[in-house]
Amino acid sequence: MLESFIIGGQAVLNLQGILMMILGVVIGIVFGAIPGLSATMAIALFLPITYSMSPIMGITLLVALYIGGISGGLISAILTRIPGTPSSVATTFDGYPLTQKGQGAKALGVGIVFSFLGTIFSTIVLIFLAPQIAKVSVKFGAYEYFAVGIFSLSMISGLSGDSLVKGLFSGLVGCIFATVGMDPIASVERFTYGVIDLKSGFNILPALVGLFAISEILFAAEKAKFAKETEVIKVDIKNIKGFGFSWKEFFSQKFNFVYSSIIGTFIGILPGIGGGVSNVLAYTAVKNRSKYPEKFGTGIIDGVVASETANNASIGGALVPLLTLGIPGDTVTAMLLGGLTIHGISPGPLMFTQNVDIVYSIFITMIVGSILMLLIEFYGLRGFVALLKINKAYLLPAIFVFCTIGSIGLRNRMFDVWSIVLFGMLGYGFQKLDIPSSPFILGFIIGPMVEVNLRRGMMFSQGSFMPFVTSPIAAVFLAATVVSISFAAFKQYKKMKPAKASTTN
Amino acid sequence: MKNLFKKVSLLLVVVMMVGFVTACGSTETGTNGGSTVAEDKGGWPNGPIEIVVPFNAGGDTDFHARTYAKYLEPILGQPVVVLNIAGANGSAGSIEVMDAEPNGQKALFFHDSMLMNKIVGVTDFAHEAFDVAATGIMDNSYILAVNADSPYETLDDLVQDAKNRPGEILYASSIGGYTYYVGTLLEQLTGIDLNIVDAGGGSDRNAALLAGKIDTNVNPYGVMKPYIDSGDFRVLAVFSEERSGLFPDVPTAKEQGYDIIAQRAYFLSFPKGTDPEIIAKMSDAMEQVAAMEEYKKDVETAYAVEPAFLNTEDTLKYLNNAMAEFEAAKDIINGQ
Repeated sequence: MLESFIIGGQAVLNLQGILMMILGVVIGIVFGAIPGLSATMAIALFLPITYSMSPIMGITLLVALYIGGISGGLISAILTRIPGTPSSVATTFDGYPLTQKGQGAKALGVGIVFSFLGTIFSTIVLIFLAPQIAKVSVKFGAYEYFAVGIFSLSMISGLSGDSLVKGLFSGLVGCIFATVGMDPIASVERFTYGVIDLKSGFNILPALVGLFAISEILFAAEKAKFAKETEVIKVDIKNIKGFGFSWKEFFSQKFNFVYSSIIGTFIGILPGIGGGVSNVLAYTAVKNRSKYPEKFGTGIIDGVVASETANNASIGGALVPLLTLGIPGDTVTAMLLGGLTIHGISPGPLMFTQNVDIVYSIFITMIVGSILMLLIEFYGLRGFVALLKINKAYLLPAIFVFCTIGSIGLRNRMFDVWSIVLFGMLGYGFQKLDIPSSPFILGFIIGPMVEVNLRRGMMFSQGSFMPFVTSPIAAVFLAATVVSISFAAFKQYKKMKPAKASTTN
Repeated sequence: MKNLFKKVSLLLVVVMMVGFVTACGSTETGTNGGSTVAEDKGGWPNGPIEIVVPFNAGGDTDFHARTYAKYLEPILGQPVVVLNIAGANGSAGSIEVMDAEPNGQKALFFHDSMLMNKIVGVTDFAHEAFDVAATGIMDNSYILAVNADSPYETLDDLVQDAKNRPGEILYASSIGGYTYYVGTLLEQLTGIDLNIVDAGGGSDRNAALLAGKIDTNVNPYGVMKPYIDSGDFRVLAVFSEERSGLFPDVPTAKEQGYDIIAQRAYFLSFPKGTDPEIIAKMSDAMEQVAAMEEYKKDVETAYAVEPAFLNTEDTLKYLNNAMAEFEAAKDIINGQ
């Protein structure tokens, strides 16, 4: 292994390689931080450029963009309550309240450090356990993914806030929006009304940008019109020491960290879902097992730690099936796969023996890249906080512009721009009615995964439901779902008067 | 005042950073500052040519289009830009080109799925709605593979077993997709009944075959190559006219007595009404690329495909044939 590291090191730890990493991480952070632009987009944009580079330089740049992009989302999530990428949705839950309390710098510091640790954790898993994990993960088929999907949907309960009904409603609307377009198995059109643009359905990015960014902008606009004084958030830049939090606070998060890292890595390994889901799941899971779940959402670092650890841990997780089986774990790794294929490298069972230089240069890029990310974000910390001083009247229109650019950049289609307006209005309506938006995102991502795997499973079993419960892995997840739902229903029941209890079901 | 200046300059920095980033991203998109809009059609190409790939970056269609773009650029003397417009299994990008000005500056790079989209009802048009220029490459590397643990050594073994156990052999493909059609062809030809199941895209199906969740799988050789090299998969047949020069050990289905040919033509087409001279020039340029040694090496290493070029006439002939074939099998493809 040491020898392999030396081979990888020689390939990537040179001037050009380091420059690629710095470039990738910086651009990734910028793309991640700006709502509307995402890690996926940064990679899509730079992928064609890497075609003309050597395979190792190309992949180094892409991996660095990935790391920077996933982490960068925390900046706007914490400071403006607009997640920069789908991976930072849960970061807003406690990150923004911290900012409102004047502890924005602390929230950023925590987010940055745990982004770093999350990446490192999953890199270690990737380096030492990838082939073993691959052997297990390949056992996951339609039945198992269906069960995992159902389990993930049950997490909506944790995101619902005060009303389980409202949370379920939001999640259901998300599932419904995801069904628009051609169905994933037989390409039958659903809810397309003959509109060609609707045939390809809605993309996750416009949905996210609309629900979280555009609705936020609409709200700010409304507030600005009726408020007598503009809301000023205190910023204390001078007194920030280090990352803005104490060792004691750091060590209080150790179990939270381990827990979130494992969830993040696991979700990353599963194809089709990545950081966009893992941050929300980790947040909910950590909240559920916390001694003070009621404090979540009011501005405690635990929430930021869970979300930011998990989303970055998903990076290493997503690379496990990519490098060992040639299966992309999320949209970003799907593009990385394309980047490797272009150079005639096909990830798969022989990758670790035939392309040692590439595999280990990816490992080294992840380690060095996350150190660079830590340093760059550390030195940028004060600058980011200073963003809060910018009057929202200047900041939000700029964000609006970026959201528009980002959505058209996605597929080069105007349709996606109109989509952000649609989802923006939906998000605004949700907020007015006190309906949480994050279950929508979970439903939107997981709904199709559940559908596809249910239908595939039924094809495999020729119409029998039995294998869904007789597969041991699927059975465990389904049992966990029952426990999770009963727990949530019970909590809700306790909260309400017995007379009203019947309406909750 | 000073404060305002700070705010504005900070904002400017942000804007500039993003400008820089997007500028980096669009170097590929290239601005052609020097070109003037020439009225003379004989002067084509007189500006950057956009090739629309109706799928996301990173796939096979994208790869073939970009490889062509790279070598077409010096031949045509203008930037050749690849634009990804994904959606509706390639229809969104197709419509974009169909509705464009027929001035030769925007073209579509697509394959047989354009025809399949019409058959399954995703669109109401196919290649007849375009002015087809030429086929850049034909992928005739479709192979049928099984897990190395499988008892099947030949295509015949599989067919015989399927005869004994109707509806039990799991054949993976996407419903309505090309490999689905190949599966139904095999069923028809041999009178067997396979259980054709959906198991996701090419790489998902590799995993399913590796885990023994499916019995067999048809895909281009390149998709399964790592597993064939590692000995995890065994190839039973290639659905081509002749054995491939890149994997000559694999017998064709035809020589095993099953006359099934599977192929996919990646062709370039312009909006209807394009000047025939432009089409001829493009076809010539593509023919030159197909003959290049560097080009050959690129496609062989990335996708295990040998270059194959069809001019305008032959491409039309091929597409019309394919369309007639799909039309005839319409009910089967639509699962009726």
